[in-house]
Order: sequence, then C-alpha cells, then structure tokens
Amino acid sequence: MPMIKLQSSDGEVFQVDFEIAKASVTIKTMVEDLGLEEEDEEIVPLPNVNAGILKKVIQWATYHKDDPPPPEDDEGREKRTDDISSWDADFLKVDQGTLFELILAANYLDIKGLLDVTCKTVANMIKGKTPEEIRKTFNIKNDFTAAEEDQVRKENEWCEEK
Amino acid sequence: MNDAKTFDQLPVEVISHIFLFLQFGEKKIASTVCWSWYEASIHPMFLNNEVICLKDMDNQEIQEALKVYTKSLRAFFTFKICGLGISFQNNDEDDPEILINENHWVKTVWPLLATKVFFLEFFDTVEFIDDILPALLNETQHLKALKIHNLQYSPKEELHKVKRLQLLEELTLDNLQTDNIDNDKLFGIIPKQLRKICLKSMWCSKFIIDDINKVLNYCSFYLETLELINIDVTPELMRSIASLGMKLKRFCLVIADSMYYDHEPQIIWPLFKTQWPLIDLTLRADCLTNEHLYIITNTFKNLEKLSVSSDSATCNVTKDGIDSFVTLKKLKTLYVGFGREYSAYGAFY
Repeated sequence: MPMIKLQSSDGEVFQVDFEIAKASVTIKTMVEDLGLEEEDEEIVPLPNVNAGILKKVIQWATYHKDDPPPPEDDEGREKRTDDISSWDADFLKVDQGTLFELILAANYLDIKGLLDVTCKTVANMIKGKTPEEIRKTFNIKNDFTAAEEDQVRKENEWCEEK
Repeated sequence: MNDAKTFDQLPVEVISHIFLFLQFGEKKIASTVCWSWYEASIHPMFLNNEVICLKDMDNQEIQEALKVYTKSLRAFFTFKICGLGISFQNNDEDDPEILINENHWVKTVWPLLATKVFFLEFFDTVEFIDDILPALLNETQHLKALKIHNLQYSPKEELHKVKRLQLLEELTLDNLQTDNIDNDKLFGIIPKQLRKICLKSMWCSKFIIDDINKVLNYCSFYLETLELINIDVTPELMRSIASLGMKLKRFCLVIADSMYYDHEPQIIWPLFKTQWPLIDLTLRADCLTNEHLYIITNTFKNLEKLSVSSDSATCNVTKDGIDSFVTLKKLKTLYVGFGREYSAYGAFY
C-alpha cells in the first residue's frame, strides 16, 4: 500500500498510509498538486501542526479510515451534538489546550469529520451555561466594555429564528 | 508556543463552526461572551437563518430598536415588521397630502439601515392611509426577498407608488385583497430576473388570473420557483402557465376545493407537458389520482423532493400509485398524505 511522509512543525516525520492521510483534503490536494508517486522520497511539510497533535490526528484518521464521507452541511442550521461515538469521546478526553490545537489542525488539514466532532465537544461544553459560566469554563476574558456588552445584548433582543 | 490557548483566540470561521452545533438561544448567549464570539455569531450563514422581529411597536419603540441595529456589525439584515399600523396615523385630516410624519421611523432611522436590508417580511391588517408601505419599499432598494401578508385595505394606488425593486429575487404575496394585485402594480415592482414567486390565499381571484399570467410571462426566463397556494387556479391558468416556456426547478400547487367549484383531475394535466427540470414538486389537491402519480414518476425523473397530498378522504389515490415513486432514483424526501387510510405513508426516504 502506498505510504506518504508527513513532517510536523517540530521536524518529526511520520510515515502514513496514503489512504488514511487522504482524510485530510489539504494533504490530498498537496499530493495531487505535487504529483507525488509511490516511490517518491518527498516529504510533505505541515508547518502548522506539531508532532504531538499530528500523532493524535493520525490516530483519529486511522480509526475512522472506513467511515463514509460526512454529509454536506445544511448551512447555518443547528446540528445534533449527542451523536459522538464512545471511541471519539474517549479520544477527546484531553485538556483544553490539546482540544484547541486539534480543532486548529482539523481546520488547517481540512478533515471535516474531526473538525465536526471536536467542535461538537466544545459546543457541549457551552450548552446550558450563562455567559459568565462560559467565560469561566474556557478561561476567556470579557473584552467588551459595558456599553458594548449592552449593545450586543440589545441586538439579540429582537432576533428570532427564521 | 507556551501562551495559553483559549477558545476566544480561534479563527472566527472556526468559532462559527462550533456555533453550528448550538441552538439559536444558546448561540445568542455565546455571542455575549467576548468580541470574537460575537463576530462568529453574526457570520452570514447565521444571518440568513435569523430575522429581526419588530412587533406591535409604536413609532418611538421602533425607532429605538432600529437605532440599536444601526450600530450593529451585521453585514446585512432581515426584518419582519408586524402590526405597525397602530404606530402612526395621519391626524391632519385637512391636509391629506402630508402623509408621512417627519419624525416617522421610515424617514428617520430606516434609511440608515435600508441599504443593508436584504429581506423584509411585512404583516399588517390595518388601513394604510399613511403610505407606509410605499415609503418603506422605496427606501429599501436592495431587497432580495419581500413578503407581504394581509394587505387587505390598502387604497388602490398603494403599490403604484413603489419603485421597481431591481435586486428582488423572491416575492411572496399572501392574503392580499385581490384588487391590489393587478399586473400594472406587480410589473412596477418586480424585476425581470425574479427567481421565486409565491402567491398565497387569494380567494375569488378569478379576475386576477390574467394578470398573474402576464407577470409570469414577464419573468419567465429566470423564474425557478413558483408556488400557487390556495388561489383560484383554473384549467385555463394551468394551460397558460405550462405554455410559457419557463424552466422551473420548484413548483408548488395547493388547490383546496373552494365553496364555488370542484376541481377536475384535468387541471393537473398541463403540468406534465411542461418539461420543467423539476427537483422539488408539491401537489396538494383533492382531484389527484393514481394516474397523476404514475405520470409524475415518468415525467420528472430528477425529483429530489416530492410531496403529494389531499385533505379529502375520498381522494382516488391508492398504494399502487404511491409505490410507483420507488423508480425516482434521485428522491431524497417524500411526503405522502391521503386521507386516513394512507397517512402511514407520510415517510422520509
């Protein structure tokens, strides 16, 4: 089976089955654009992903290699969050910094399934909380002035779902 | 790389992706957490699914509400304005020429927002002695979608005063008094490139049928969606619509039988001669028969969404007719609802 070499931002090289690496639209496109062949010694550099995160991403993609392609998004409509598989839930029992890096990596590598499941995990941490509780959960600083916060709240007042 | 990574520092696009998994109310709460989350909450894909609903407000209240949105960072706005007739009456009976109060929101705050208003839904049941609707529409020339409901008591000239909405793509007219919709008025408003027309709940509308025809003919080249819901569709109208050479992708026909006459099955037939590239078809009529269903299957092979139903328990559709839909290869959504006996067929593929 053809293999591909991926290099993380900190220089570590991972040899991965191309069928698995293809879960990343970014890698798939790069390989196609570079016209890489099976025997090539060419290394695909991934300057935005460090070794620890890349390892996790490969682990996720390996487990999910036989998944059907994720369905198209229905733009802007709420999607369910209660369908995270137990394997994914275990896989995502990580600290917030890692979750943050995984989301960035999934976004950069364009792996929709991983982006969806990581974003769902964050969404589940937001649900049912007040703004102050959310800030506390994620250690986010309130960067609104009092007037700005008031403005945002008022904008929401008359907004309804169409 | 040791800085603390917190979720307000994600790219706005990614935060928006997280918000896709929140309910509308949860997203509202999240938008008040910090600036980047607010920005993510007003991503265009969310704005398309929200509407700013201003309901039963007087002039002062509506001015205050609109002022809030003049400061908003939203790229565009969708408004639903209901029951504003109570807000303003022309008290100057001696001078009917002064129709709009100088301090009226249509003249003061609305123009500050109007160029960013792409969608407007307008409900009212009161007298339009104040000319609000033409004033509002003439200020809102970037509209892409306009829905007007319950324009019952408008004076005849009301729509004549509206300038053509050059960018309009969707028009819905619901429950209008029929003498408000002659073709001169509609021609005056709609542009040739209109993509969707929905005409709804206009009973005893026989005499406007000709006008609808002319209007459809006018925009037949670009029109993709036509919905005729509870208007007096006649066999002549159906024949005439079918002959216009439109290329409709979505068609909806709802003909509940009126008190005045029953519809014969023939009324549906012109549809099958159209060669429209339909992907979405809705038919709700008591005159539907199995034969109709067979021919739908053989004529519109690209259907992705199909809904056939009837209010009547005596409708002549049986399981055989419904079973013929299995040959529609691209069908994703099917709704079937006939009387009690077949209600179990209301199903999704």
